[in-house]
Amino acid sequence: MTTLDAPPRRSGTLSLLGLFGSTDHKHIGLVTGLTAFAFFLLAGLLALLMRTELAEPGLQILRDDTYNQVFTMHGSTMFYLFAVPLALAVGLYLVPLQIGAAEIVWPRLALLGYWLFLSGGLIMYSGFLTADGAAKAAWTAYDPLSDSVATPEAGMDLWIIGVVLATLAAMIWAACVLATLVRRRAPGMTMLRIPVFSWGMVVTCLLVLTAFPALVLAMTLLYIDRHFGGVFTDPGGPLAYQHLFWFYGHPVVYVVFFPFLGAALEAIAVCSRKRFFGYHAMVLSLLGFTALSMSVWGHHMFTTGGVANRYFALTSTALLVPAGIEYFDSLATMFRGRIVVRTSLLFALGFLGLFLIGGLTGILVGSPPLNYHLHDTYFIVAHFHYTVVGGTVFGFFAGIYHWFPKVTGRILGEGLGKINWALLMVGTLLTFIPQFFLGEAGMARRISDYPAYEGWAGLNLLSTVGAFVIFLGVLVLLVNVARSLRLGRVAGDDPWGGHTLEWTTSSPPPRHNFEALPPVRSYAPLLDLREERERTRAGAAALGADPEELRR
Amino acid sequence: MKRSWVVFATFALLLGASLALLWGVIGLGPIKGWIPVATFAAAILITLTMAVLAAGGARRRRGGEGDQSAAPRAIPDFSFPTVLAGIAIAHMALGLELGAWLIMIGAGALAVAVGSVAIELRATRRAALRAGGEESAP
Repeated sequence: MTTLDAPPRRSGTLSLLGLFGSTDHKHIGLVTGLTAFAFFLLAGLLALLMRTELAEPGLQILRDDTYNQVFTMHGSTMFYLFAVPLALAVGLYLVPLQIGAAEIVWPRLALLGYWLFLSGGLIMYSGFLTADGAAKAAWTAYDPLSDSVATPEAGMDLWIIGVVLATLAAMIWAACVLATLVRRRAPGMTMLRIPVFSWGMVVTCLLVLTAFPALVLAMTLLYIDRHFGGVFTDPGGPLAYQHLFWFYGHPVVYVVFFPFLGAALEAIAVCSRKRFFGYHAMVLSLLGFTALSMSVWGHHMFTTGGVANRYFALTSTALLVPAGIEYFDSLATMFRGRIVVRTSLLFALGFLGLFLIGGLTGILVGSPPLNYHLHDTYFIVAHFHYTVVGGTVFGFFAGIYHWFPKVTGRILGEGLGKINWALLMVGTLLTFIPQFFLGEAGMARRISDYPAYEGWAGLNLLSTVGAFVIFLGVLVLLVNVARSLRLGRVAGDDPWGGHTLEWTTSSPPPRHNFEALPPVRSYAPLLDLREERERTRAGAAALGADPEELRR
Repeated sequence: MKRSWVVFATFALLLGASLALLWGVIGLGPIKGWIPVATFAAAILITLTMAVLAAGGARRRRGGEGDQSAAPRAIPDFSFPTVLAGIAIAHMALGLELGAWLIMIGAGALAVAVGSVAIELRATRRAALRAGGEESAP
């Protein structure tokens, strides 16, 4: 059935079957996001299992082998099945709306991507059903730990197949979103007038399309090596694998950061009721940030002795510059703004604070001499959780509270929202601050147990308590969503005084997004329109004339 | 940077600068450091390809950048053959582990899916032509 023959249908009136076969980018983005969030909950449960085991010395609930499977699947799920698909799902949903497009480019390909992603996730988890369990070589699957001698089990093969399918899905989505940004912008919307969030998606898609092929290659070669040998068997083989893996593995942390940076910045601008400050500097810094993010992968390999430490230390430290520009722009946006403290703003501020901790500790571990002490310790675990939880999760939550009204037509409860934020802030700090001290004291990562005489038990117990506080925070979000879907305040088209085109259409948007588009003269077209109307009204009041007459 | 191809070209330039710095630092022996250089070069090549495609597309389209032509575009609301294609590809991938029988089942399903998508494309093309518009890409 084509839309030319059928009457317009509003989103939200589909059957479940229709939802999973729909070519509407909003439905594809929504089901992808919901599926990714389901994987997030699964990975969260695995994290709670790990933290429960580590709360006290000695093995309480898991054997060593099972613990290895748990941390492997936790990390794998978080990156391959939650953070990356979610980052692209928000782009699939929002980019066409923000740039004034009726549809995404290649909608059938985007739908194909969802089914490859879902299949990949299920295949990865099917490893738990095999006799020897799921993959257990960590989300990085380093050779020779992941080869057929050390890990001969079928679970590892299933993991590889799942990773390849999920990664191919991500590449397909990135191509669709980037092509939409190139080809479907509204009249008047040049690249220097697309919203900040959409710029975040531009650089995200650039990273996916240039860096993710390295992972597909690495996994393919690993699979061939496991079944036929001869790929990573020479003395330089493990190092070659690491080069290929980390050429993907570092950019991926920016893939899961930039969209949610954009979401946080949008929330900051709207809640400050002020135009985003330093747009052009932000665009240049995003491109610089992206290029640098592809130039630092060797800092994961300082201790191998096989990379140019000077080069990668220089590029890693240089990341401070574009990050600093973005922090300055976000704070300057709030400066002298008429700030409304909504939950979305709280999460955006939490994002800035927590990511700052992650970023500053990144400068520490980006120094090779310090890295030799801290590599593969809990310091690294704490560092990347601050960047990923602070960046991805807090940015995502800022986006949820900001765009939930547009997607569903209802506003999330602010009371429960603030409780949600408080629990996540406290939980994140309580979980990961102790891990900095544990890592500095020498506690290695990926271990199921530690000796009692080291005196690490107290900090581990604190960290476990924090993990359960995070769990409570996520529960509060689920309650808030369930409650607001039925009882939440009706949103209308533009409940926040938004700046960008998605707020000109209904909530939720119709099948082809827009009945009409306002003129686009900047990166904040709706704000321009509002300011023009206010100027007209003020001018009319001064003259004692009718504003509508003046406008005509 | 108003045009998209300029964005891709700028990104490729920045990557090239990074690669030049890496090359200068590590030198280029017969084997030492060839993987980093190769992956970097591949990334630059992909970006330049996107720049060329974006520039070529902009020239071809009516009115330069943007594709908001007035002609209606036909898109189906659902595409269950696409769903079948995704599941079929997953079956073929899983067949690498479980056996050739599953690969063959997946291949058969994929053939059915591709054929159905072709029928779907033909139907949308006819609908678009009836309305005086243009067919949308897959």
